[in-house]
Amino acid sequence: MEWTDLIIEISSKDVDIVSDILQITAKAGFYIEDYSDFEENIKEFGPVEIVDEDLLKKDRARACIHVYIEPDESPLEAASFIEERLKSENIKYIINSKRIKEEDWANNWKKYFKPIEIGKRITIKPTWENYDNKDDRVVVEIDPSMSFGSGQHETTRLCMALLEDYVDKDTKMLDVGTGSGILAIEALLLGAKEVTAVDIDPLSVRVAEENAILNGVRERIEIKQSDLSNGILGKYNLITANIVADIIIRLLDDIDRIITADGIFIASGVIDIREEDVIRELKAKKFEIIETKYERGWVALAARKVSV
Amino acid sequence: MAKKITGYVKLQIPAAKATPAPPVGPALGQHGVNIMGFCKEFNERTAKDAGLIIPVVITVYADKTFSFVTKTPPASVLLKKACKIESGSGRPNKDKVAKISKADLMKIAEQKMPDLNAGSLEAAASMLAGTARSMGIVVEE
Repeated sequence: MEWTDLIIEISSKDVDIVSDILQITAKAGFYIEDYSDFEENIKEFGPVEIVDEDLLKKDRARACIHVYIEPDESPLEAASFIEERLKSENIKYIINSKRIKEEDWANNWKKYFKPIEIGKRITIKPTWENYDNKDDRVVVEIDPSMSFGSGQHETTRLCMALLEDYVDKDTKMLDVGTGSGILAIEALLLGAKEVTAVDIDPLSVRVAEENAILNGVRERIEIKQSDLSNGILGKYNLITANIVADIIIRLLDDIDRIITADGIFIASGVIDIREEDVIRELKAKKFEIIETKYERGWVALAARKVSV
Repeated sequence: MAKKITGYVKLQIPAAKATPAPPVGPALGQHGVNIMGFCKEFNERTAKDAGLIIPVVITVYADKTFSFVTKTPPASVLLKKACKIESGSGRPNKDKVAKISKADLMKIAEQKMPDLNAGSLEAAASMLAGTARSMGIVVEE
């Protein structure tokens, strides 16, 4: 699948007006390379830090706007519409195009994904990296593919650190929104008795299966495609959901049916501004919050079902 | 410890709907950022603005972590919303697609003020009037 990257080079003072024109054609949005307000904008990220020399050398007077044309759309048609509008506004421009492939950008971050030590004894190791396990840690091997859950992101790391405290040999766990399967696999490597993992995305189900095989736990895990807890029959004494606030709240509607008395629910993927909403719902479902972890604007909570 | 900035990316994308497809994928992928991580955080932070295009400025650090700030939606987006139209005119000089009152224009000027390089509200309104005209929107005096 090849996309077309239409590159419109303009004076940086024309960025706003050209952006307005592009709003009409580029419904999915566009990417602007414009360094004219770089110094001013980076102040918003805190005290000015060290800046890479290549960035400092960028031309402040010129800007490039990238509009991406889908593989089944005509780049010529899009370009001619844009050119017509730029001409009618008397904007000077240079337009270029290049073909780009998904693999050119999708896997680039993998180069920077290194083994990460989490909590007391967990290490996440990308399949393509080496790791010298001299401290006898529990090593979770992961190839996240395009699924969520590489352990690079705060929400996954927070959840993994919490999970470590609640898994034992009697654990029967349900992992909702398993993504790469990382949490389910961690629980099994920590000695959980059995784990069921579900995801709404069929690709994630496949990726989680591959990761389970990679970690030698395939026979102790059931992985299936499911929208949250639909199709889940049994009860679990540990339920994890590393998703986002709204979906976690939706899952809580059905929680009484799938959690044991005294069962533990671990929620992650909650952004700071939604923490209160999730806590309120948990309390409404008779959970007590027993542990909370924070990192860079993300919250993970462990809660226990209060038996009545 | 201060972190070294290695990338500076501006995007204009629909609030709450970021996906790893272009423009997000190529723009951030080239800097080694975990694209899914950005999408998840952006979508959560902009959930309340769903339906609007949001400009976002992303700073990428040497360790491939990132920070971002969102800005007010572009003038054209606010104008379209105020006029309840899907898109501006293809021939703004000839075909007029909508009208906007001076009062409504002032309201948008107030909203955009934090991100506009305008000395006064009047100056901001006149910048917006220019944008409106280029979209085929008639500003009523």
